[in-house]
Amino acid sequence: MSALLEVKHITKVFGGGLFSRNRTVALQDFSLTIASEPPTITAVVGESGSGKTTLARMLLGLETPTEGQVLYQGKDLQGLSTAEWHSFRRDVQVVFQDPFEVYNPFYKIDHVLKTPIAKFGLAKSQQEVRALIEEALQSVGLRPENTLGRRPHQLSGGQRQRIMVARALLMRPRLIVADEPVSMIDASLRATILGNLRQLNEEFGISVIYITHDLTTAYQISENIIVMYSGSVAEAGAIDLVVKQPQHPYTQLLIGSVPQPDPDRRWNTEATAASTAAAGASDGCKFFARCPHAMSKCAESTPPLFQTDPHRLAACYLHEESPSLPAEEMASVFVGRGADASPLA
Amino acid sequence: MTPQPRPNGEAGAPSATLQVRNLRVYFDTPGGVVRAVDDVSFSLEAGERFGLVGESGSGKTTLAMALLRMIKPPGHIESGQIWLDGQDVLALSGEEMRKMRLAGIALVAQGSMNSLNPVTRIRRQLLDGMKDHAAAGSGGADNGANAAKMSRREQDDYVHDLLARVGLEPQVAGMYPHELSGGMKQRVCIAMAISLRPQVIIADEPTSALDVVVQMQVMETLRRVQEEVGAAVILVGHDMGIMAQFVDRVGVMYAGKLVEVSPVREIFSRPLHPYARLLIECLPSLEEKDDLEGIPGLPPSQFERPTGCLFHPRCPHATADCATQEQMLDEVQPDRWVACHRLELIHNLQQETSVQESEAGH
Repeated sequence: MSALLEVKHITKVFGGGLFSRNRTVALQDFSLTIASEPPTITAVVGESGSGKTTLARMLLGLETPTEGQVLYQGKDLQGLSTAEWHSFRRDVQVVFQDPFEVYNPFYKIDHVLKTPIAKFGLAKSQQEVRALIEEALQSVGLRPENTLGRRPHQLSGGQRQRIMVARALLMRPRLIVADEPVSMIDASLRATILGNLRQLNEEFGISVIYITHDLTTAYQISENIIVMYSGSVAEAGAIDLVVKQPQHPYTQLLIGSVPQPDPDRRWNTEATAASTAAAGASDGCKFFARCPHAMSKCAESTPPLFQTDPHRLAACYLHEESPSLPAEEMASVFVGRGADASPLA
Repeated sequence: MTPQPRPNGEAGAPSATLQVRNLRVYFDTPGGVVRAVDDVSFSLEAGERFGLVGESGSGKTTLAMALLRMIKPPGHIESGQIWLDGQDVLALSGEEMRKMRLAGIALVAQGSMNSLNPVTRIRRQLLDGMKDHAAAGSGGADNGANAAKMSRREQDDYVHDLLARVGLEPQVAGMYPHELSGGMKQRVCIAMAISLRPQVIIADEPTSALDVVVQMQVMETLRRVQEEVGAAVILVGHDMGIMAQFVDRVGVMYAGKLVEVSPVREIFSRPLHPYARLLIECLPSLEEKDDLEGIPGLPPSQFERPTGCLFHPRCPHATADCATQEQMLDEVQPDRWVACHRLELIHNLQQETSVQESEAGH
């Protein structure tokens, strides 16, 4: 099992320059291995400031880590040759949050699809270009005749975001990093776009890193989940385990706060008492100040990842009787696709 | 709960705090007239929480703004009536209307935490709104204290009381907006909205930029102060989850029209209008993994509206009649108002499928 993309002990610090007193640790000692096989969908969930977008930007090579390395097929992103960089750019695609800002309003939407084809020499003739574009559009459920030749303002947000997914698909990448792809889309169209991502994963064997703050959509499309809190992993593992039986107090709070579309199932209002407090002590658990189960130990040292189930890790001293796992082996507990023999007994 | 409210104001329950009758808001654009809000009627009881849902462009925010008479040209209120506590809102002069805002009907706008003045302390911002709107001409003076006539000490007490109501420490009064988190800023905006004890609070996607945990806290804060003050709330949004947790009744808007108005439990357990049903069915859940399917098709363009029922091009139950005849909102069951020709048939259809499902289950 070779790794497509490997993140090793990365830390990203913003600020802290000569004249700045504020250092913000956006990501702390984070490790993740994305295998090339089998293709999986992994959700990265957390609140704003949890470091999830910083992680996305580093996976894409848009940001360099302060410490640690991001490896593409075993080579550090910063040391790639031009040819390797070219191949990385093709293998790893992105879908951004805002489908309104990515288009140049002066160009027809064909432009955004033709450019990567030309750039990567994917087609030899105009007919081939046209065929590739039509195929990609059809794969995301758009009719080429109703889409091509139009300008961005003539399309809805949902259509524009699907074109972005089609554009990513054109490159036949091995990984798509989707950063909040549906948070600006109407609820009625969200399902379609998430369906497209899942279809890309199943039909074209593309892995997806789905970055979101919305646990519900993460649950719908992913096999595994990483719950981030303040730059560190709080809980990670098979999504059924994490969502149905959360073990980290932060995950419990997060899941209790999701507004269920059912008036008879109230959200859990008790868990919120201390949650407006500021970030925790710098040495210990980041969640310390908000945690209802905080112990003196939690303020002293950062809890490692405890393996509480074969397919789940929780960074919390409540589970210290379980064996701990080094951070870089986090992906080893993830379930593969089709592991429908649900880990929930 | 409260007696049955009448969405179409004809019978006009006199107890209603807010009554909207046949309201139309049109925008004159070079491409033609856009009917952003088209013949909408509903009413609100005192203290009631009403949700207004729909896709973007369905006219829900325009409707909310029309209630405040804050529609900007080229838009205008074409026709209709708005009655707030027995007062004809559309007949008020500009100055009277300005006083009515905040004192009678207050707004927590979308992203309103970014509307705070960055160079002014919170205390001053809370008092400014009061000073400007408190001396309301008719009835407004009863709503709250007149900050202009207060002593410094009384002002402090008043501000601290407001902040305490939304769960903020008194120190917040001396802070600037950048010192507060998004959730805290949104609470300041709620404090501002209740400062003159309005009868109606309009909350337009008040939590759309906040995380789920903070979102829950802000919504719970809004619920608590709304109950204390006795104000009715119109919650505008497209997150059906928040609707289910917060409101008593839901109005579903489609292309400028209300297509269903029902109590929240009923609409979630058995939505009657086909659009409302699709909207609720396509919600992802944390319970089970479903097929990810949205509502087929797109909302109608502003300029080329379909004839007949506006939803018929996307409706799985549409017939030829739906394309020619418009159906008005009608009380099909006690307290449930639906605009659909084919309701009887869909009704039976739903019963059949539920029978089939229960048979399959055995």
